[in-house]
Amino acid sequence: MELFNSLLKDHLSKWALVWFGFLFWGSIFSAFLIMFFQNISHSYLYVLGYFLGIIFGIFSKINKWSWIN
Amino acid sequence: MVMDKLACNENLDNVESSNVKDLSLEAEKKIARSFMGRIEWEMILIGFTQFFVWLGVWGVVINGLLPVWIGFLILMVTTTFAYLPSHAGQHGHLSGNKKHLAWVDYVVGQISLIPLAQSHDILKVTHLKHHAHTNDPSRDPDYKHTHTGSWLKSALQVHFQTGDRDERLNDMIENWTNTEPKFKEAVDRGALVTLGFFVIQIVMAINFPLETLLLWWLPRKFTVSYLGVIFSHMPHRDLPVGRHADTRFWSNGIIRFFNHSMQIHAMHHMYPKICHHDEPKAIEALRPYMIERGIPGADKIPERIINNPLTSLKSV
Repeated sequence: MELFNSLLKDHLSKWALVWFGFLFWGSIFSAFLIMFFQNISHSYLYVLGYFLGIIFGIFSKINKWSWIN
Repeated sequence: MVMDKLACNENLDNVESSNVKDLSLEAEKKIARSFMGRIEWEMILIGFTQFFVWLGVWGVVINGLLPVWIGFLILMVTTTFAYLPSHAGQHGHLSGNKKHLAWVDYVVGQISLIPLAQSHDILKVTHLKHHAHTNDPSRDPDYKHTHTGSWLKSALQVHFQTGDRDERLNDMIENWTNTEPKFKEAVDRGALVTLGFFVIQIVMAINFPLETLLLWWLPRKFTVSYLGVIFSHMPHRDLPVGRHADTRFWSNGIIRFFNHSMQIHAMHHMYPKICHHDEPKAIEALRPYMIERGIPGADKIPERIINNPLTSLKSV
């Protein structure tokens, strides 16, 4: 358990912003896309939303934008 | 306690008769002590009320009974009340500094912080460091967002207090974590709470994306900016280190209540054990001592502190 905690802590200290961008902001971007483009298949919009989310997360990690979470 | 009250009344008579004969530190402490030690029930009430409003707004919005934008407007206001109850808990005001009630400080403080998604433990240990080293660039965790050229810079800078952008703050925390076991314990406990908030926010965003953005993320970001400006920048900016020099009395022309009484934050830094809601009366009693010690703006505070904007302080 201690090893798991230590691995998790180590992983999140490096990748938390990327995960947050992907899952949190990806969900929000998807919701906005679905709201604005109702005629396009939702599956495509989800993929695009989460893609934008992970890009935002990586960009935030590089620029140390801790404010995103 | 009764003796302190009697001593205080005696001193207050002196204060009211305009010439305070004894301006010694002992006399000052005697008066200050008479305002300490009660349970600040008002903050417990504020903590729970704003939390249940937050929870209630979530409930009615998710069930379609309230438009999300109205919920957003409500929570933009109520979330600004989330920090002060935790702050009171950090100083032991919620338990009246009674050891057997210390859990009240933590429980109420942490529940109150849910709309801000912050750990009470981490805020407590860093805030106590702020008190111990106010305005010291190498030891005050709030230094960077406090001492900025404008309130707008402060409002933005405060968001970089977490994460690895603020290397100076990271060095401080690493140093205290390595040298102070109690600090480390608190940070470790707080890290679990922070991880919990991290996961819960993601789960909420997946299930209720726009609601999470408008009812949680945006109100808490706005509140953090508000706290950076009103609680740190305005009372401390450009002031030196020193118990009677590090905090000013100030005004922005707005009624004191809407600034969470941070115009009189100097009282809190002078005696952090005095409850927030008792500060106006304590200032009235300690005013001659504050003027004598040269606290910035003390000579401009009115003799009676009511719910006014304290505009006479504006030039300080």
